[in-house]
Amino acid sequence: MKYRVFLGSGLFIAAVLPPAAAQLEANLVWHVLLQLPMLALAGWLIARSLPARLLGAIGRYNEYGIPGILIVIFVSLCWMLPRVLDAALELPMVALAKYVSVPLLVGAPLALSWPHMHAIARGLVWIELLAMLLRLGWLYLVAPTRLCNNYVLGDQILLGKLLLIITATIVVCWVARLFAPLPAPNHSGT
Amino acid sequence: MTRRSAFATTVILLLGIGLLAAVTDGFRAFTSETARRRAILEQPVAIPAATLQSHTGEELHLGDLSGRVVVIDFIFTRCPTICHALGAQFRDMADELRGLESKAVLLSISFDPDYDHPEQLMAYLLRYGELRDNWLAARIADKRELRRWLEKFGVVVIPTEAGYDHNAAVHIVDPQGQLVAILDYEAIQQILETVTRIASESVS
Repeated sequence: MKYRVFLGSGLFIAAVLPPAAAQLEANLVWHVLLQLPMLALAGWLIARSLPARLLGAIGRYNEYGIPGILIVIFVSLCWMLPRVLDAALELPMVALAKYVSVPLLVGAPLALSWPHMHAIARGLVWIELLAMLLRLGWLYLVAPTRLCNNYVLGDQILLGKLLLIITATIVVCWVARLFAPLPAPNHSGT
Repeated sequence: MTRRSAFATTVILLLGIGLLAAVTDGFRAFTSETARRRAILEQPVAIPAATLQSHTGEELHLGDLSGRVVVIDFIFTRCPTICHALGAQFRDMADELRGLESKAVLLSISFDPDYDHPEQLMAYLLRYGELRDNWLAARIADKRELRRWLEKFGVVVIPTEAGYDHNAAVHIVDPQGQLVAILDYEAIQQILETVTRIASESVS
């Protein structure tokens, strides 16, 4: 679909264009909860509009989405490290690596892997995501000193709170789904 | 799973672990603060010349303290929080190091020279009792020199509504003017041991 490419490109440009990027990176909360997700979403949207032949070729190396989701996990772990966030502000090369790797190695492989993943693998990724958000949120909330030298302590505490709120929201949504009626079993196709 | 995907999985696992090890110095540094401290231990940094003005108004250079281990912290006297903790630690360390005045000296440097003049620096020291021979406070009036020092020491200062946010640590400079260690300000025993070790090494 064309609109996905436009939307993805638009998001990417909005996240990396110097004046916008400077705004987004001025604050720890925007950096983590806005710029990084924008970049990942841009990669996701564009990957879903790749030509079918290319998708097929990638798919042969990405059975059940396992290799792809591993790339997503490793690269996103990297961008969760306070040290790497600091480096992205101080070193242009690291900033460039962020603009390239988050769409290409987080958003895109997630889009190409998730639909092929087994329900158990998806569940594991969800659990690990929740655990990671909880750990990070707790860490940012209680750390008495700055984890990122380039950001003020107040932002760090706010980010910690927001991460915990996001975790709680996901958990509540999941629990709510347990009480939702199951889709009617389909017996027609035998 | 086909051989192709198994191969891709193995390569990604190895590369991924390698990547995480690389960006954390082998899973040892997750924040830039720990990375900075580890780097200094392995590769001491020469501190450039700068003109300091002490709490008595005298001009002071790091070279004037030569032959002594210099224990440095960075503060601003209006600081409502962490500088108080640092000040109390420096007071205790100054008392512990009494008798070693010829070998070790404590130096509190203000990164807020617009507000902190000798008068404010003197008041800062007096907050912790009488003046001590082995605890000096100083400012670096020249903004360029100050910026270069903060950079060399790895101190990041961000102005806020209430003053400044800054990383607090204790920096140890050996008698040759090399920054050799950055330690937690709370680890007073470790600081004292490091200071006495360097002081005794430089005598022999």
